[in-house]
Amino acid sequence: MTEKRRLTPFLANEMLFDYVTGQLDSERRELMDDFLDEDSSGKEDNVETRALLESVRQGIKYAESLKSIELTSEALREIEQAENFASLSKRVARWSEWPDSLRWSIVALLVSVSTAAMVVAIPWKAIPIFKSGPSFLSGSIEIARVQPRSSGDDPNLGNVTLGNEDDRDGVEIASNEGSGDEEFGGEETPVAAIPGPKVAGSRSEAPVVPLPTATPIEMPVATLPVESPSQAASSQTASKSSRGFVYRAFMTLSDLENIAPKITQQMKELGAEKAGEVELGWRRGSGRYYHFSLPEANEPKLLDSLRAYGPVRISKDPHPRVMPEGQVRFILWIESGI
Amino acid sequence: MKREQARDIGLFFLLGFMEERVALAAASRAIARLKAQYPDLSRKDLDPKQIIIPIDAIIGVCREAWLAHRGQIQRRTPVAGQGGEEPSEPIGAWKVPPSLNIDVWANYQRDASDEDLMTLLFSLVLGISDDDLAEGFKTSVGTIRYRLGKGVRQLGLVSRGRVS
Repeated sequence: MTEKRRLTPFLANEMLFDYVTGQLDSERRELMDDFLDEDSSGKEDNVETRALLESVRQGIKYAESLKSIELTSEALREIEQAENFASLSKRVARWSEWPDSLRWSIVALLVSVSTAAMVVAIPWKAIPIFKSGPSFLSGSIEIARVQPRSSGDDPNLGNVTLGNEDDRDGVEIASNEGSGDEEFGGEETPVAAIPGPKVAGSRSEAPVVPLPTATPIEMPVATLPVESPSQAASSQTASKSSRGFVYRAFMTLSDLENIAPKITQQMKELGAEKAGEVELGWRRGSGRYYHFSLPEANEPKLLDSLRAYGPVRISKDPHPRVMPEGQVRFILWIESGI
Repeated sequence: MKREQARDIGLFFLLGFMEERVALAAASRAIARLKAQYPDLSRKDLDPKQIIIPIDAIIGVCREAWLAHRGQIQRRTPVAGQGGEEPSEPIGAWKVPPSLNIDVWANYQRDASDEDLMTLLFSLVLGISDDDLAEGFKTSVGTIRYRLGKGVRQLGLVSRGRVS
């Protein structure tokens, strides 16, 4: 019969932890049990092992009791909220972690920017329903205050539309210090509708409405035929005679009260006819106003007679109104002064 | 992150360093690194129980933070009240039960090696299994059990007043 193997104290001590925690296999556990119970054999080398066994048991018990230690709420909150750059970056990058107020602000900002960008980017003028104000495409243009008149009054006008922007004196006088003339006219300017290319949904479909007539005119003028954009190119080649103009003259005379009747008389002798509602030499403030048409041939004579009283500043300004052949139109203002 | 996990990590460093400020700094570093690795930990809309952090990740960040802050504490010197240096002013970061004699641990912690300390704390405080510890420490299970055995034996000896 073989003698049972016996553990050395060193091996027993090293296996104590596994022995206590139940990690030993059955054979080694049996050997450990035998070693620890050997006091009856008279050997005392297991005394130290027994003491160590107790220490291991107590050590495990003490270590497990360490779990009962608690962190204060402040310390726990401090470490729970710990962040470093990487964690913070990832958290900030996550949209769902952003504060609601910030998220909604950003959404509102994006909507505003998108709306503004859309308003700027969309070519509203190209959309018919959003067109506003007169334009060449609309087929109507504001040229002047015109007054329709029978073409039979002036054979020179032919079949052009008749009108005189200066002849709404009866309407304008009340609000424009009584002149009724374009020189003293207010900003109120009716629109003369002129047929143009029809555009679906555009204002060109609006009916052409004749301007209201205040009083009959004495000096009819023709309005410029307004061209549609497609006709604009051809208008470039129109003769210069088709372009209207008006002479605007200005004088300053010291003895205007005495000179004005003479000038009026001289104008009439040269064939001048008032082109507005007011009479020639109409008094306005301290000045005199002359708006008249004149045979073109008498234009030099008129200027000579005016220069006899003083210097004349004159300019030839383009004007949409075209005078009959051989006629020119003048607007003269004489200011009383030294 | 589960509050229990934060508490375990905090306790790990408090017991490991026995210096509250250094321990909290190390714990904060470890938790921040975990949050960086696992952004879901910061999400309040998720149940922390649904967020699974691999054990080796916890071991890795705790070891890294341990090594980073290890130099800020003085160990293997007599503890306070026994002729040693006075510890830093306590800030009350933890609450030790009256029945627990923390000096036993302080004596053990003073002389134990870093690896033994970490192994014991990971196993007995954080409840990490021997297999996971072996994987986290890149060593064998036998080594882990040897460290644990040595640790608890030493702790028991200190506890019984027989410091070797």
